[in-house]
Amino acid sequence: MIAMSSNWRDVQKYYEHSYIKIQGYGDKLFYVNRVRETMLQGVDEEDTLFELYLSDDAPFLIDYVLPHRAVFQYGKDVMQLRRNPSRQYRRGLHQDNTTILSVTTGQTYDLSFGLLRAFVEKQKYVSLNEAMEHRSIYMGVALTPRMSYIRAGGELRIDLTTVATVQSIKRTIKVKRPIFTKEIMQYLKDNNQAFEVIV
Amino acid sequence: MIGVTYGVGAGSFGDPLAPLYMGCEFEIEDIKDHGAAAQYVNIESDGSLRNNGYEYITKPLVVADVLQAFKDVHKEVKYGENAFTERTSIHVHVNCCNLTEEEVRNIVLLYALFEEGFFAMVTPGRRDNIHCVALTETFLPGIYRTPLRTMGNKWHKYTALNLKPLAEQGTVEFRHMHGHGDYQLFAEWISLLNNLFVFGRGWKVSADNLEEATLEAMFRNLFSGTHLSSHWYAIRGMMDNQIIDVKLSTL
Repeated sequence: MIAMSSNWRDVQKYYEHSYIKIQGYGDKLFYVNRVRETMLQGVDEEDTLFELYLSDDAPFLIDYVLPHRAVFQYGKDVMQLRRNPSRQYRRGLHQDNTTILSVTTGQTYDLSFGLLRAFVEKQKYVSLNEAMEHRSIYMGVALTPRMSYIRAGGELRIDLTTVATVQSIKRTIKVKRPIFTKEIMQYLKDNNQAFEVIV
Repeated sequence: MIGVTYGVGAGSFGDPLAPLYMGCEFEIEDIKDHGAAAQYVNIESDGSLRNNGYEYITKPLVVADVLQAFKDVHKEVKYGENAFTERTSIHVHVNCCNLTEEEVRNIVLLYALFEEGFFAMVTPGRRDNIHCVALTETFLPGIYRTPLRTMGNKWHKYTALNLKPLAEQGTVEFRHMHGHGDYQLFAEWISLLNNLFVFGRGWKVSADNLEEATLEAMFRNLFSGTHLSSHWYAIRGMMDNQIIDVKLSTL
């Protein structure tokens, strides 16, 4: 959306109190504190306050497409981001239109620069071997946008549902939900992983 | 039947043998003159529209009459160059009063499988529009397995397929379509919705029939009257998430 003085009320309605990107600043995220007729005020990822002047002579582009549902790695845990379709007008990321929760515990989290930065950065989904190697460190590891490995119980989950268990020493995967055998086999093939899959 | 369950849809709407009834809301801005449109539809102002925007609402009609209503409205109403902004859309309510809860639930699952195809029928911006959020982007696939009444209670209006009206008027609402005056595109959309209800009543979505060949055959049935009919591989390439969603619903 083009932001300028003449449409400041739209900018306010759509983006105040939400996270946005601004064209020309790459993937950097900004939080909009306040929008007035002549100015957009906020804070950036480094916690630095900023002001952008709203002028019809020098418009700028607010650039944010709401993200797609996916799991992603955040520190030692794996999170799921999903959209809330409730009534609201905000087009930036906001607590009302976005939920982030831990796949391992189900606990939801308030949006923060740290969480959103982890989400918008290009995700490095890892192989099951890598997940095994680091399992003493991590509570959970994101394997694909839908699949994760949970250390407790050695579970493979699709979203929040356990579909298989992994036995690292035997290098076997015991499928609990056979309907997802295809997805598990495809993941192993895509990552060139040698595990025996027991259905 | 839904009509009995929710106490809605008296008369022919609840008749199991009744044809498919639909009601449409055409949103248009930059209106210069309504002409004689009021003969065919109700004309209402809408707070989400600007620049002299109005909503043209049909009564429940059978498919052929819905198509005629689209023609009538666009013949009568005079609008300017900025009639179809991103704020405008076309919403279609489809009568479910004469369906069982299981049939409606099955239609929802069939829609869910092919959701990307439905979005491929409309302008790309609608896929990320906050007023018609794709089901797969939300928590809603997590409740596909629950009874229809539970699904309806937990549903949200601003989803691409809105189940909220089931309890109020016995309909489900398709909110995907952007505002436009293209009769061919509208006719294809109505054909797709009609097919969804025809095949959704007769083809059970279950863990046993999610094989590739079955999905392709169903795609060809659903989209046969549309410009996407020969684009199975492109649509299939976007369906992995939805297939997982529906598989989860079968557990």
